[in-house]
Amino acid sequence: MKTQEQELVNEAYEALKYIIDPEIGINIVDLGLVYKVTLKEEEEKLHVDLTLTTPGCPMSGTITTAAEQMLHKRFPNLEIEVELVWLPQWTPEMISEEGMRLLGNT
Amino acid sequence: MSAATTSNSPSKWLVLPHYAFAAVSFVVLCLLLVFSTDAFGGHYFHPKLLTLTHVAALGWATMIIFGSLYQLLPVVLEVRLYSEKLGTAAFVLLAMGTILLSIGFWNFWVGLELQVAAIMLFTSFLIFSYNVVQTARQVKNWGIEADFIVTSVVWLVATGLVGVLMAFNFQYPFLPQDHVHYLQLHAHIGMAGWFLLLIVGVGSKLIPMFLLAHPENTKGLHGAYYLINAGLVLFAMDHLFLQTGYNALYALMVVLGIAGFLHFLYQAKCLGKRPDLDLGMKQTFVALALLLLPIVLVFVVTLQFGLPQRLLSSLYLVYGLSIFFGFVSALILGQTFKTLPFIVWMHSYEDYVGRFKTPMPKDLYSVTLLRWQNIAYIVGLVALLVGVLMAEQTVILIGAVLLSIAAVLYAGNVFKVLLHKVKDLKPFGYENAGTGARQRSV
Repeated sequence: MKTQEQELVNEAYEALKYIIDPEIGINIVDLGLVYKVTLKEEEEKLHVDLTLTTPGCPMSGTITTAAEQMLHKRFPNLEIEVELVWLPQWTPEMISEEGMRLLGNT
Repeated sequence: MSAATTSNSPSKWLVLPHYAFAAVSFVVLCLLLVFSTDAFGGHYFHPKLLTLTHVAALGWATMIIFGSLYQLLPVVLEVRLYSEKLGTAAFVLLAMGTILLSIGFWNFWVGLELQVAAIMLFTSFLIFSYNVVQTARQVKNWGIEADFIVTSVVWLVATGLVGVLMAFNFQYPFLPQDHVHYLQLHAHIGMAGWFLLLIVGVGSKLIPMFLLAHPENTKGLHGAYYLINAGLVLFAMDHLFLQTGYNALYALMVVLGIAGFLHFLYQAKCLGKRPDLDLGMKQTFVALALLLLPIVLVFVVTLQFGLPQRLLSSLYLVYGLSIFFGFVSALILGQTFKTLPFIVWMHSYEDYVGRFKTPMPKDLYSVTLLRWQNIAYIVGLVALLVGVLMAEQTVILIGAVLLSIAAVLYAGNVFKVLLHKVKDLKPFGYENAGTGARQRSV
């Protein structure tokens, strides 16, 4: 991945950290819900693969919209595409070290 | 990666009226308790106690279970609710039936009023059960949770049917045994068949979810399902046709089933990634601990151990109270603030997330009120149980007053959430978000 592209992807992850799971209280990146952020340069499109802690979660529409809004605000010149995916299934082991710390695990 | 579907949540106008009605019912229940301290000196077949039991079982517990289940079924079963209109019909019939039945029992009007109320309630149960079964039929990944939920509604219908038969039997006696005989059946299939199975089914999905745990070993849950149902079926058959007196054996089966469920939750607690429990979850664990009391008492009232009749009568009452005012109420008091603020938050802010800074669900209720509610509840419950056991009306009254305080605090907090209005939202901007904002809101 080119340096500039990597920087943009990193910025996207940083932007997504502003979205807090309302039940758990920590951001969706450290919760491990953001699986992949890809920049499709030729289409000027930012694609995000996102999951939820459980397939029946009523927050699916809300978190997807929040991610779209957040990224659109950060990258107004890019087309934003957020896809909700279920595979691989999310497990608590996907929580980052920072996420574990925020949850109160020492 | 496979694409996911959008949210299956039902309309808030289906779910929220159940919470409002249940909160008012809990206040009414506790106030009626204040005026019923004289009813705890004898047998449980007493107009005031019948009223209290039905306000607790129907207006409080069943009402909130119906409402929360419409929200939780799509979460647990991962499908959309079959019909919201049927849900509304079940709500109206349950509300009207509960009011009429309670007035009927309080005044001991055992004629037409009771029969109409019983038919309304039974119809409500049938509609609700049909809705749940039709919802469950859409399930693609059938799990043990679905078994628990579907079976629990079968027991709900059975409980309602026995209730209808008893309501008519008051005026037109046709049942071969006396009322108390069927009341025991009615009460136990309602408590263990409807409430317990449903709580196990929904709890086995939600509690690990709240704890951020994925326990894979569900043997305990499967064992719980078969043991509780087998115990109940054997109890019902024996009670109706044989009367062999093996009730302690059937109770043991149900208790072993509960142990399987608790073992599953213990695994979830050990695996969970959220060591800091909020007040709602703490209250849930208090409820699970309170289960110990009816578990012990079911053997005491079944085997009797040669205890004097007066003490046994008190123990019967403590047994019933420990289920409705203990386990079931404690669980609802805790879980309400895990589900209701989230539902209201979702419906209020789903159009604003990502564009405005929004509060979190936990900001919609008062933690101080919740803390005092939990304290007043647990002290009130202990006073009530001790007062009934010692047949001391003053102690019962203290318990009833404390429980009323808990109920008013609970209702105040519930209506604070229900009446929440979106106001003064500030547009979100990276330039003014700051690092601290990340852990507050979007």
